[in-house]
Amino acid sequence: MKRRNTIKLLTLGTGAVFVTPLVSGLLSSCKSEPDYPSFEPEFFDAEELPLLNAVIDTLIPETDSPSAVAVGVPQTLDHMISGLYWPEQKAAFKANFLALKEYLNTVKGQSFINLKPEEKTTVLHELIDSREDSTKTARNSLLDIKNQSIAYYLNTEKVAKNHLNYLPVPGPFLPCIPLDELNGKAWAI
Amino acid sequence: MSTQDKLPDTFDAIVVGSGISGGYAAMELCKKGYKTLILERGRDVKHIEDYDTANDDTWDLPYNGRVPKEEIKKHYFKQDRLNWWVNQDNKAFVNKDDEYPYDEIERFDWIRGHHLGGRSIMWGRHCYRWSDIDFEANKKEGVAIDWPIRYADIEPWYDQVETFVGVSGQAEGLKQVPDGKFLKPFELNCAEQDFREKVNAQYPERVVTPGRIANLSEYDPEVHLGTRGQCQTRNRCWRGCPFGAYFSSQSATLPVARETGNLTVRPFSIAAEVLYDDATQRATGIRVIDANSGEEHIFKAKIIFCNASTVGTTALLLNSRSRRFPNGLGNDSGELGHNLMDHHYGMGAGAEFPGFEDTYYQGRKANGFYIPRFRNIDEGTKREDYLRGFGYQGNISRGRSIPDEKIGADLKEDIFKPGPYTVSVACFGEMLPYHENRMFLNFEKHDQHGMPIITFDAKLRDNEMKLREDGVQCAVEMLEAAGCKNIWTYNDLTAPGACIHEMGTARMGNDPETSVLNKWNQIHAVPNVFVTDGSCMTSSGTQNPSITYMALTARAVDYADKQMKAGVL
Repeated sequence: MKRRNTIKLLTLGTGAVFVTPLVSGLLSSCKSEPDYPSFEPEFFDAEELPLLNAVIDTLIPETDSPSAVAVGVPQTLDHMISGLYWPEQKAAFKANFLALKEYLNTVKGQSFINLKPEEKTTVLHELIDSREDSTKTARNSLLDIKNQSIAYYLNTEKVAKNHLNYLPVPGPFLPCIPLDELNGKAWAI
Repeated sequence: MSTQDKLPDTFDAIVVGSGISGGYAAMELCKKGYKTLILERGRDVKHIEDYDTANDDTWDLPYNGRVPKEEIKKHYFKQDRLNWWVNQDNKAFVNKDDEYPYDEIERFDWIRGHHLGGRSIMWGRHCYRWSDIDFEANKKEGVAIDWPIRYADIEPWYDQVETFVGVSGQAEGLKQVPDGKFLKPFELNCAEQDFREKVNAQYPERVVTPGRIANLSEYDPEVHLGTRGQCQTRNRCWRGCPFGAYFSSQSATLPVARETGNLTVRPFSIAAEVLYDDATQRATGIRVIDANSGEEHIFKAKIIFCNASTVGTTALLLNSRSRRFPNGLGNDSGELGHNLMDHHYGMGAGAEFPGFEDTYYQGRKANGFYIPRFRNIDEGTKREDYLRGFGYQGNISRGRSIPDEKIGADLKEDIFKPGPYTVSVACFGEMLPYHENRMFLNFEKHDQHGMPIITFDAKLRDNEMKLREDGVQCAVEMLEAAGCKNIWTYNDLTAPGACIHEMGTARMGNDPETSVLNKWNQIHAVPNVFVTDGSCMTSSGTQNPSITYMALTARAVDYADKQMKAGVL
């Protein structure tokens, strides 16, 4: 995402529509897979990780707060499913994820991971908005990954302490206060 | 263990068990000058020092606090059948099923932890008084046997115990759950207050009140003796509280008992048998198996208090067989082990609670609201289809904000905000005492300490089923009255034991032919043995029972002391 912002800034700065060789280089590098932190998966197949990373990075990208990938959410998801799912739950997750993989890698006629960031967002949006029977399983898989990713993201120390209201020892209970006084943010714990 | 081996073998009093009633019995005995031995079958747990997870945040705990399935399969295959009880933060206080086996003819969730303080460490802390509606119910309805006591007998003891324990709550003037000695309540939040008012407008007999809990909303060192302190609203009670803000044996009764100089605690001490002397017709002591060495010891005392938990105490008495009591100590009636009760739950409703989007709360209060029983409390609320009633525990809080349709930067703007208020009302029903519902010992099968295997055969019956349906219906009515959206309901039968309020297997009564204990919690035929844990209960009520166990305990110790001083015991 940072690279995309760099391009935006360059474009704004020059007001130009032409592409310098330098920027051209940046653009093409966007297409290739970003450097996601690698880990040994416990549940997913190693070759599924680039897709999982790309999906989660599109769901929860870097903004003024870190991306889910940067705080290790894909690894947490893998670890949680591996440890906390009964075998039949794992099988169900796997089947749904296969449908999601199939959908994402065919809908635009090329691998999801090779799409531009904007295209990835569009693809995920289309799937979430879809109400077709044929995409139901893929959609459920995406929403499942999304919901779990949000939970694990907010449960990281970095996000909880910096982007939510974190108060480990609250003291007296205050039953009713304006949300504004808490910057409109949820409690971390 | 070397210090343990040097223990004297005779005490004035022995208390079997160190949980909520055992700790209380020991404290009262020590305060009255009795040299008291507590026998605890599990390990020692030191207040504060041994609360290993007390300050861990979600991200500090493996698996965000959940326990992996491999570990559940190996160690907690019964303890975690409820799917919420065993977690990283409290599992140190949950028995491993592979180490502590029991058998079931019908499923029974016997959920416990063998360690000093017992379940007083992980208890739910809700404290509601019984009333004569409860004490008179069996007699009025011709169910089981009459209680030998009434509210007036226990009322002063509730006063005394509540004052020491420290119960926060709001006086409501309700006959079905009499007001007590309350510290200020942890108040309802704005949505809960609105719920209270809207429910009350449509159903005046249904009162949404702050849960009455043993957490110090106001700490008074003169009254709340022990190692106590102000509640910091962290809502991590079941991990053990480093502030001593909720009542447990560790925070309150044991330190007060120790202070007297009269207390001895012996952990890893499995009480195997209450020894009985034919000549004096008294119990003489306890045969103990050391859980580590396997060695046997005998400790003697003039008075014995059995507070090993309902099932633990009943198993101990059933295993105490002599020529005089071939079927277990004090079991002339044949009722020992029968009339096993619990509360039942797994039914209720939930919904979105619209409004109050610009409000929030600060602090994680360790309670929600309570809706005391409102069925069958007088002629006007009488039901034709079932006896007794149910109460609710619930809360309204703001959860996570996860908009389905958003992704990317849009999504991130939302997920840091609190979600809408959602309400949950969980119903807790009374269970009738049925002779057929029982536990017994299988003397053909033994655990690793050579103790016969405890076996359960109890189930919910027709009255409970009908009550559950009404409990769900009434929950929906209240949510509708409050203008809730997207109401969902559930009615998933729990097995007995699941509420962790097991009781009734050594019941009190006036008649030795139909009960095990008299009105002072003494075994009818063995007056120097007192039983003041949940096994003494003649019916189950709808209220969380611990405060009643403690009141009965304080009352029984007072009586025992007077009998000792009068030379009767």
